[in-house]
Parts: sequence; structure tokens; C-alpha cells
Amino acid sequence: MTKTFTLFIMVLIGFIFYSCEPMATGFNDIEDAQYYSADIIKFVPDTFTSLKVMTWNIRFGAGRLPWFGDACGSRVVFTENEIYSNLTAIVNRINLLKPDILLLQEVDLNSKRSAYIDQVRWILNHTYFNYAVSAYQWKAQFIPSDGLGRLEETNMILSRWNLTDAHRIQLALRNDQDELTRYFYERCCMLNCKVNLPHNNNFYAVNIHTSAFATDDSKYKHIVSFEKELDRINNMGGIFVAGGDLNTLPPNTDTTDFCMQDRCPGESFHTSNSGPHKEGSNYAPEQNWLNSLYTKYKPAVTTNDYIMNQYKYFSHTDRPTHFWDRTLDYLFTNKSWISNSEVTHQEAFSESDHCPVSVSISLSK
Amino acid sequence: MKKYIILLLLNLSIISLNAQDSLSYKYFNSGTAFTMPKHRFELGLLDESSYGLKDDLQLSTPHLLVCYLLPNFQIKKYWGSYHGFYFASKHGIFYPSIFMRTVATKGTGGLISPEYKIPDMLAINNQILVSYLPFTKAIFTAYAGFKFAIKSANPDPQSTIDFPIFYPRLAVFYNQPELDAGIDFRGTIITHLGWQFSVDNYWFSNTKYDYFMEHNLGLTYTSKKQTCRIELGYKLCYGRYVPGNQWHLLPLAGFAFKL
Repeated sequence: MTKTFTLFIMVLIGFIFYSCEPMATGFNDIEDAQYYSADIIKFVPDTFTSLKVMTWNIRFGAGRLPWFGDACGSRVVFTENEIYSNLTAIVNRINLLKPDILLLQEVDLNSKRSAYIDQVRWILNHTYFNYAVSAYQWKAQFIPSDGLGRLEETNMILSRWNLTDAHRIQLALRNDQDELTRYFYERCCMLNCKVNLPHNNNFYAVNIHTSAFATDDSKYKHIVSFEKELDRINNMGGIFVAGGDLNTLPPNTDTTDFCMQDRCPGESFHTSNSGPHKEGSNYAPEQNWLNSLYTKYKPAVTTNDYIMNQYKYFSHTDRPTHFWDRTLDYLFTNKSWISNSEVTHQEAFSESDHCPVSVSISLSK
Repeated sequence: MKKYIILLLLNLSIISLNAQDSLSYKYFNSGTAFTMPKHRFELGLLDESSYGLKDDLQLSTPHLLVCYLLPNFQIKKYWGSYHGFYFASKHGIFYPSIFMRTVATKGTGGLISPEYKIPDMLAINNQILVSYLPFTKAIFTAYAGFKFAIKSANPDPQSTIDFPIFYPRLAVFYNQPELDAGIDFRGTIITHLGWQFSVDNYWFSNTKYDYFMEHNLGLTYTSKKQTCRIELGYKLCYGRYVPGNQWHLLPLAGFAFKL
């Protein structure tokens, strides 16, 4: 009787521990990432001399719909049909562009705003990729604000080849928010993994999504962390392809303040010389933040190419009906990109508020 | 977390003890088939408020202080006993539209997206309750009922509040009818100190996300003259939500007193 009672208590305690999911999830500095494999593993060629890498912030499958959080919109929650329609357009674009390694940002898992569709698995099973890893950028069981409810957003790396040693690296939290907001807010992260290429045992991919709206130095800290991670891989002799949505402009960009372009009806900015500025729209203080990365490693778009034709490399706009007006998405390597292989796919206008950026890396010795 | 575990262990050990004091079924009797005396008024803070219209007829509302936001009234009618079983029925109406419109707002406190228009909705519920006294210091009650909704329009299916407590109480407006059944088991340990255990089940029609359960376990303190009652414990919730099956453990607190 005593044994049965003890067992009952133990089961109950275990059960309660199992049930205790925090309202918003915090993370350790470094954690294992989540691994996925496609339901059907597709054939992958054994020999190749180059790899195409692409980064894309897919805006949780919301396309250019007017979300309240980033597009002066009135919508918070999108329907299943809307999300599936956008996801279909996204995977069609991916299947057309055929990158070998894909870095995705803002991929939702179980979020009210995106009709609770598991986008990670859906994208994996509707493309030719065999493997994926993901890391939470935002995980809150219930956000009691604006009707957001449950929100699970991830960054993701997809590959034809198996991915191992994947880690989620926590980036600095914003310090310009009140405690309550910060508790429920996103926790920016970096995701790294080893890509098990057939004849290369030292190839890594790194995906980052820095803070879009920070007004303190947290975005700068994110970029520094990114650089440190690339240094780490480089110093141990690894080859990396790295990138993502850095949410800052390339060095030598002509226009660095988008407050007036991004303002929503009723908002007012630049009423004095010192501002105020719209959160996430004034990049003027950030002009040198990428210099070190550009100096140490090879960007997909060189500074010279960018200066020659900035418009060609614009990859983002906040305005749903406006064409791309700034560059926020990057790819770097410590090896060599194939000349003129970089493409900012500006034709992909309706799938997201970012367009995909791709480039090929040479693997010949 | 530790405090929850300690509380749980305490409650479980208490429940295993034999009751040692007589149990009043006249007062603080929500969840049983009994009704309170005529003109007695119990005001609940985080608890049900009740008023005895007659000795066998009781009016109650789950949360009187937010009644203007969540009008919810129940009538409990005691029908009599048969071979030691006590019978009652409960009939209620619930109008959540004011509350839902209030929380369909921008910013903090927005539990529902402001993009949704909340129609006028009224739920009507009916339950049968049967109480039994397995021993002199405990009351066991089983109930079953059904609920249906009358609406001026169908609410948007995505305007739900996908969180325990809220979801099962509002789900009938999205998927009806609702069937519910459960048990309430309560007793005393020593003078003034009692325990209460309940399980409430909710089933909804026309949806895959059709089952929710709430289990309460609490310690109760009732004052000497039965004028005040405090309950502390936990609420364990299970539900089949759209993103998957979920468990939640929440603290439970109730305070009611006689006016």
C-alpha cells in the first residue's frame, strides 16, 4: 500500500514537472538546436564543386499582408489559407532557386498569428531538402498583448546533407524595454551547425537574426557575437557560410534614416534635429557596425559592388506596396564566393518583406 | 515550483486522513446538490457568490465583482433526497461578449486580436447534480449537463483565447453543444479545516479539439460560525488545443464570506 502510494506521488510529481511550461521561455547561453529530417530522404549527388547558399527572412509566411507589428497594419492573426498560400509561394521560390544550404529567419512553429502551422516541417517536406535544424527566436506560451497569444518563431538552416553539432546561441537581450515587455519579447539568437558534406568534414553554417527594433546597443552586441562565432570557426580551420537578417545597412549606404518612409498614419518623427526616430528605422548610428565583418571575411556583395548600384541589392522594405528600399540581409564566408554569383532576388516581391539573397561558394581546392 | 509540490503533497496526505469533524452542507456548498438557507448571502472574492432565494432555491454567480464584464448567473434548485442521494438541478446563462470586446484590444491586456468583431452571444447551461454522503464527514457529488449558445453571428474561429480557464468556458460559442460532467468530493479533517477535490470535464462538438479537463485540489478553512471560507490549492488543466494537447498547473485561491 505504501509502495503504491509512493509510486502514485512520484508519478504525480513527474507529471507536474512535465506540465510546467513557463509563460515565456528563456534560454541558456548555448543550447542544442532542434533537428529535423524530411519524411522522405531525397537523393543527393556525391560530387560537386560549388554550393549555392541562400538567406531569407520569410516573415512567418505572412507575405506582404499588413501585420500590426511591422507594416502599419491592423491584422494580428492570419488565416490558415493565407499562411498556406504564402508558404506555397515561398517553397515554390525555393524550389526554383534551388540553394543547397538555406538560412531562414522568422519561421513559425505553433503560433496563433500564423494559424498554428508547423512551418519548419511544412517547408522541409515541400522542398528538396533532407535535413534541417532550428532554434527558437521567440517562444511564449501566451502573450497577453494585442491578441498575439502563443508565439513560437525560429531561425532555421536547411540542407541536402545531414546537419550535426547544431547549437542555439543566445544573443544579448534588449535593455530598452520594461521588464514585462522584455519577459514576453523575442530572444534573438544565432544558430550554427556542421554540414556533413561528402568530402569535407569541416564545413559550417551560421544563421543569425538580430534585433530589428532595438534602440540601445543590443543589436551591435549581436553583430559582435556573430563575428566572434565566425572567428571561432575560422580559427579552428573550418569553412563557413554565414548570414541572415542583420537588420542594419551595409557600410557606405547613402540613405540611413527611414523614419519618414516607415511612419504609420498618425505617427510623427523628426520634429527636432535630434529626433524622435522610429524604432528600427534610423540606421545612422550604425554606419560602421559591419566594417570589421567586411574587413575580415568575404561578403556576398562587396562594398565596391554595393556602392556602384545600391538599388540592385536592396532586400527589404517595411511598406507592403513599396519596392525594396534597403539592404538588411547578408552572406559571408571565409573561403571564396564564385564571382558574380550573388543575386538579390528582388523579383520575389510578394512572398515576404525581405527578398532572398543567394550566392555560390567554390569548393574546389 | 517547490511550493506547488509541497502544497500538493500536503493536500494528498490530508486527503488520505479520515475526517474528524462534522461537515456542513448548508453553507459554501457550490459544487454540491445542496442549497443554502433562505436570505443567506455569501460574497465570493475569487470564488462563487450565492444568495438563498428560498431554502431550496439558490442564485449564484461565479465572480460577482466582474459581473458587469462577465454576466453569469445560475439558479440551483434542490429537488429532495431518495435513499440517501440528494438531487438538484442547475440552470444558468452566460453572456461573455462584453468581456471579449474589452480584451479584444491593442497593447497589454489584449487577449483577443482587435481585428475581430465579437457578436452578442449567450450560453445556456443545464446540469443535474447528485450528492451522496459516503461517511458523515464528506460529501460526494456527481454532475452532468449540457450547454448551448445563442449568437447574433458566429465569432471568427481565430478569436479564441487559447489559454486554460478561458478556452473551455468560451468554446461553446465556437463549437456547440457542450457536454460536461464531473465530480466534487469534499470533507473535513479537523474542526474548520477541510479538503476539496473536484474534476470537471468538458466535451465540445464538431471539432477535433473537443476535450478539456480541470482538476482542483484545495485545503479549505471555514470560520467557526460559518461566516467565512478560504480555499488554497492548485488547479490542473488539460486541453486539446489547436497547437497540441497541453497541461497547465495553476494556483487556486478562493475567499468567500457571509454578508
